[in-house]
Amino acid sequence: MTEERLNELLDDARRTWPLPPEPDYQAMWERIDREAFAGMRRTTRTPSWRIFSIGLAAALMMGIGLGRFSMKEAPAPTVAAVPTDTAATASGAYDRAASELLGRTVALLTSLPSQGRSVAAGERFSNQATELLTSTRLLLDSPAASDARFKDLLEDL
Amino acid sequence: MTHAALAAEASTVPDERFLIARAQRGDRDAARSLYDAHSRRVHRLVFRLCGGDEEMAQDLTQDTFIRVFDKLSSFRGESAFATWVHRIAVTVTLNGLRKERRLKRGADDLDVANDLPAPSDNVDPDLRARLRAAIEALPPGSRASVILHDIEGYTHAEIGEMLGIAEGTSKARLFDARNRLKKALAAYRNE
Repeated sequence: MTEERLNELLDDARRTWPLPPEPDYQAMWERIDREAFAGMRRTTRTPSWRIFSIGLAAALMMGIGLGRFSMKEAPAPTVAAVPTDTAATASGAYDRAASELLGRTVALLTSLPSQGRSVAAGERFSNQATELLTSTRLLLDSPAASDARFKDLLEDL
Repeated sequence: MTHAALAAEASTVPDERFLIARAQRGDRDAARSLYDAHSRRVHRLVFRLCGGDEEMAQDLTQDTFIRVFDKLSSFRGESAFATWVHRIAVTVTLNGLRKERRLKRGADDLDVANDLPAPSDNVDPDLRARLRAAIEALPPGSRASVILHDIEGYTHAEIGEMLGIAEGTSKARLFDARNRLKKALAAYRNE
């Protein structure tokens, strides 16, 4: 048999080769769907650092909220226990500073997911975090830390 | 028709890349659309590669798509999606055939092709049948070369990519397969 004759036969085969009977594509898909996507359902995603930071921020906000709520519910001091004006002013100032610090910390952590990964954003975040850490250490050494609840919160920070 | 044309035909599905991206994220509707777009050609190729065994062709077509969706996250679009799917189909089919040992006949079966009933006066149908029998009797790799190149119209480069062999190896395999076919048909009257 010559090469030309074989080419003719193969050309004929290309045109006339039997086509498969039409299968039940839907039934075939059902098995594919069951087996291919069962694996996908098993896969779990590891929470990213962003999701973790949002969770941390939410926990902090809840802590602050509870702290403020419990402070408001503290019994009113009796006349005999009212401190001098100077002491009250100083204590109030520390409390305000601590609350402000916690608020700024929450704001920083909440803004973390939208910061992006640019060098500038990273540097800005780092500076703010350093400043907040310094303030936290100062407050830990201040009369604000005499309140056990505040102290715990500051130590957590 | 070359495979490039076939791939272009398959790519007429709107936004195939978008469908692939969605399927990579686990979207089953997108996966179903990809299956609908490619299953007929894959099934036909598998059917031809496994010698017309319809039940086996259906099983291997399903195995192909299970593998496709399992590996879809590794598809980076470096080749056409159709080429990538067909490569998996060929691999799955050849592995399936080896596993089932349905094609262990090999070169010895060319004798079986020669033992077909004597050709009748109606030359063309008999010769056609003998050619098909001879192709189906080829060893799996050689048969895949003939079917992919001479029947399905893939280029040697595409076959090399599908079978994981060099383009030159694909040409050599086809040359060898065609020689076997010529020998198998040589006994035929006037051929």
